[in-house]
Amino acid sequence: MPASTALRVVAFIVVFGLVWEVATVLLRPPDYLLPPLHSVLAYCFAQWQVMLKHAGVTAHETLLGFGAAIAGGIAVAFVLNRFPRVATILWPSVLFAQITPKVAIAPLLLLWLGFGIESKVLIAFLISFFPILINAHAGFQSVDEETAELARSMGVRGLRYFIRFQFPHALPRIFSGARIAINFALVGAVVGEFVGSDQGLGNLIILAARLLNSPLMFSTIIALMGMGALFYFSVGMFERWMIPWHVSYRRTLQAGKIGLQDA
Amino acid sequence: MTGPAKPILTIAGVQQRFATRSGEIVAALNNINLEIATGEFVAFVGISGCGKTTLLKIVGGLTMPTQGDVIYKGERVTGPIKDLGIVFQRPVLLEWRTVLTNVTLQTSMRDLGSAAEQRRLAEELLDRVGLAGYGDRYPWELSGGQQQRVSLCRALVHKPGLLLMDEPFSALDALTREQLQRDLERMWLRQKPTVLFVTHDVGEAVCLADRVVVLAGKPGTVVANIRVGVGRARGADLLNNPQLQAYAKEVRSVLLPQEAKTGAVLTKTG
Repeated sequence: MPASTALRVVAFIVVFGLVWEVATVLLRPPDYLLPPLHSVLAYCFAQWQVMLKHAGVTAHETLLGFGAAIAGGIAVAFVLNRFPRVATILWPSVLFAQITPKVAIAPLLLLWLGFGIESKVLIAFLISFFPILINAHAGFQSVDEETAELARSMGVRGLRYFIRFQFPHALPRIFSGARIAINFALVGAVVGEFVGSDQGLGNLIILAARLLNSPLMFSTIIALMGMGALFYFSVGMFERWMIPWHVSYRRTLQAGKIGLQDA
Repeated sequence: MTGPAKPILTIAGVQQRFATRSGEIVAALNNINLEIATGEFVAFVGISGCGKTTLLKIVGGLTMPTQGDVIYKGERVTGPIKDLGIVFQRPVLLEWRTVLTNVTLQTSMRDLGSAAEQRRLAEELLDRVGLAGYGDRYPWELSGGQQQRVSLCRALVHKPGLLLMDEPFSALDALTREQLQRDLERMWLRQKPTVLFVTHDVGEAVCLADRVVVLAGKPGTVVANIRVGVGRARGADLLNNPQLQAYAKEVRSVLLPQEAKTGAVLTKTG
């Protein structure tokens, strides 16, 4: 993330916080509807160890689900691309899994897998799997004809073609999918915790709602936003490190140096 | 010289048909017969759609003909030829690899020599086309002409027996094109691979080739086979070489009646 972007994000947060604080001080809404920012921050500060413990649980579930979605999405995309016959059988089941509303079956998954982290990981996985799969598959399919011919002229086939040509070619798309998927996974974990859990940020939100504890509610929401931002930018940084050659990172170059002529 | 002394490549009765989307069968090539000698530079000239590219792919074993055979080094071609080098119209460089590793891609995919040896060979070639010191750059940091030079190095680094070039310079500006034609001639004279060079630029064909094969019609057939008896190195200098100009005229005279029939316009060459 360039420094100017970071600065704008910070500026936005500061303005947002100011508006919140001033509005609550001036308009005095009941505390259980919208507490002033300073009391939320004070609550956060006092309870940070508790918050951190629950955030850790949610992060754990999210990352396990996300990791499984990355591995599974790429693996399934590989099979779909590589074995067209298998693909004709597999696509309908993949689509079926996608049209099934994951949030709606969350209670069922809890019933099956229990109230531990397994059910949350599974929901996080299911909800973040599809963006990875679709993007990886599109990436594998989109190697141009000439590059494929070049590989064949060098006698490159099979797994070597996948590793040396298809996979690097698909990486930018896989990362696009991952940027979407990481926050999907977080939503999945929180939904799982809503439905039934004894820990995690989703559990805290349900608790806060029952107790009408709005400082806890807002603290948890802020924690979730912070976690989402951290995940998202981590994926971005990893992407930048993995594919520094990609077109989206070439801004530093003068346009004049790029002289590819398409014809 | 009539007919190559010792053909490395024989194209015998090659025919190619395609099924279009609407299910119609279209013939792209009809009864192509050619013999090409070891180390010969053959240019294929013809207007778009006469099947030049298709013929190139068939010769390389990347596409199988509907009918007929290609014999390379005494063996019938049934898959990609082993010692093949290809240059396309676009550079087709892998954007995640540096200039150097784009060249060594060829040798590393073929497991030829140690990494150090591959590197040395690639650097030597890059040096020869004026890209010394560009090895660590990425393709997008290079101009179109430079990228195509890298592509040329990649096609030659493993010392191929057969080099296929599909309109390799047609996307470049005129001056860059001339420079690359000179580079190509120089490198060809050094390594002497057999070259099949597709172009629609008559000047380019006579400057580079030992023999110009004119393809025309739909489906494409060989309408002329013109040997260019001009010594090397020619230096891509059509403008100051009346001999080359005479050959260019001859090729055009064969090409033009065909053009009139299909209504296409031949661009001025040279």
